[in-house]
Amino acid sequence: MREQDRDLERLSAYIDDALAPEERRALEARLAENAALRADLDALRETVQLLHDLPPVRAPRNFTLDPEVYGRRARGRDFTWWSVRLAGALSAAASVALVLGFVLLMSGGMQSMSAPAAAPAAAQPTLPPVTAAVDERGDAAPPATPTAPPAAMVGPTASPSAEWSAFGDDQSGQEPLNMGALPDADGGEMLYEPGELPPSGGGFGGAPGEAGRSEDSPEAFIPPPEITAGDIAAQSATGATHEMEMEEAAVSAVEADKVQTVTATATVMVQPNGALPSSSSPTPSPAATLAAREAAVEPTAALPSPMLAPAPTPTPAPGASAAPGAALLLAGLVMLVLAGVLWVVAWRRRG
Amino acid sequence: MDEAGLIEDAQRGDINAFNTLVLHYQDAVYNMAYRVMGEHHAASDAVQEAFISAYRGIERFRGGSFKSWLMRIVTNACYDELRRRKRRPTADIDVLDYTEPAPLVSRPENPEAHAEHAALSDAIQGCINALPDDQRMIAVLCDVQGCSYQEAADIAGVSLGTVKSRLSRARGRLRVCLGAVRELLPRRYRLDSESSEESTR
Repeated sequence: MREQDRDLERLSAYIDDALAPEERRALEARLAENAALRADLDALRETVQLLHDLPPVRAPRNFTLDPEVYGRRARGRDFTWWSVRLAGALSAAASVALVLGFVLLMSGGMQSMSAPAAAPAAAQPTLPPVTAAVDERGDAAPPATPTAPPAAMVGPTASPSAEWSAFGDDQSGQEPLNMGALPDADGGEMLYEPGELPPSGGGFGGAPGEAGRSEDSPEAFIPPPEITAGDIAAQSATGATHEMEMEEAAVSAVEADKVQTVTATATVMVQPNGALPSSSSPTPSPAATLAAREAAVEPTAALPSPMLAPAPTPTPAPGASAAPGAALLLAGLVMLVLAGVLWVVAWRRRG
Repeated sequence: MDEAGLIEDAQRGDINAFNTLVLHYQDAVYNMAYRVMGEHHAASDAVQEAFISAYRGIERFRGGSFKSWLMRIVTNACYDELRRRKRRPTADIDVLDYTEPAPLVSRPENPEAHAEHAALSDAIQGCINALPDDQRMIAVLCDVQGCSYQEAADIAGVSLGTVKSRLSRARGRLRVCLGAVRELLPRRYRLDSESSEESTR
C-alpha cells in the first residue's frame, strides 16, 4: 500500500474517530505541521458531509407482499416442507423396519431348525446356550429337511416357509411347528427314546407338514414333530437330563446317518424335496441321512442364527421371532407407501 | 411498534405482521437500494426481491437488529441485481435513458434551491455510481445510511479492516469525482481544488 493510500485511510478513520489512540496522536502531530495533509482532511470531511446530507429517498411505492400470493405460498411451502421431512423420516424408519423384519424372519427361520434345542438351552442356564443350540440343531435339523416337503404341500402357511427353506431349509417347519406341535408335547419323549434314527428326522421341518403328513405317512414322521414341542415343554421342566438324552440320541442318529454315506448332493436334494411333492418324504432313511449330513456338514448354517439373535434371547421360541419380523416387514411396507404418497404430494405442491 | 412481536408473528407465517414491518422499513431499505443501484427501476426490483427473501427466510432470523438483517438481505439483492444487469446490459437501455426524478423528501425551500439540491444530488449519485461495487456498498452503508464500521462489516459480511480500507478508497474517489463537478456544489461544499492538488503532488 502506498503511503498516500495509508494517509487516506488514516484520515478517513480519523473523521470517524476510529483511530487507535497512538495513531490518532501521531496523525494529529503531522496535521499540525503539514498543511497539505490538513487540506486533504478538509476535502475528505466535505465529501463525507455531502454524502451524509444526501436527502433520503422515499420508497416510490409500498413493497408489502400480497397475502393472496405469498400467504398461500408460504403455507403451501410449510406443508411441502413438512411433508418432505415426514417422508424422509418415514423412509428411514421403513428401511430400518424392513431390515429388522427381514433379519428377524431369517433368524426365526434358522432358529426353527434348532427350535427344540434352542428352547431347552435357553430354559436351562446350566448349558452354554450357543453351543447347545448349535449341537442340537445339528442333530435335529437333518430330519427336518426331509419332512419339509410335505409341509409346503399342506397349506398356504407352509409356502412362505418353503421359500425360507432355501436359506436354512428349516424354517418352513418352525413357525407352524410351535403352533401345532405344542398340543402333542407328550408324544415327544416317546419318540426320543426309540428315536435314534427316525426321531430326529421328523422333528424339525415336519411341523407344518405334520398335520397333513400324520394322516398320510404316520410311520416314523408323526412323532418327530411332536418331539420338538415336547422337548421344549418337557425340557424346560425336567432339566439337564433330558437334554443329555436328546443330545445322545441326536448324535447317534447323526452317526448312523453318516454311516449310510450320503453324498454331497444331499443338501441339494433336500431343497428340491421341500418344493417337490412328498415323494421323497416317505423314505425316512435317506431323508434322515441327508438331514444328518446337513447338520454335520454345515454347522455354519446353524451358526448364523445364534449369531444374529444372541443365544440367550432366542428363548421366545422360533415362531415368536418370526411373528414380529413379519409385523415389522408389514409396517415397513406401509411406511414406505406413506412416504411415497407424501413425496408425490410434496412434489405436486412444489410444482 | 412492537417489532419483536411482529417478527414472531411473521415467523409463524402471519404475512400481515410482516407487511407492517415492511411498511416501517421500506424507506430505509429503498434508500439503501437506490443509492447502491443508482436508479429506481433496479432499486425497486432489488427491494421487492429483498422483502420476498426476507419473508421466506424470516424463520432464520435469530434476534439482533432486524434493520441490519434487512440491510444485509437488500445488499445481497443489490449484488444479484447488479450481476444480472452486467450479464444483460442491453436489456435496460430504456431504463438507463429514463431519468426519473428521485422522490426526495420534501423540504421547505424555494424552487431555485430545490433545483440546486436536485442537481447536487444527481451529481453525488453519479459519483457514487462510478465507484466499484464493493466500495459503493460500504460508502452507502457508512456515509449515507450512517452505519458504524461494525454494522457495515456485519451487513456486508467482511472484516472491520476491509470496511476501513474500502471506505477510505471510496471517499478518496468521491472527493476527486465531486471536485470535478464542484461548480454544481453550494459554496459551503465547494472543495478546495488547489489545496487538494497540492496534496497530491
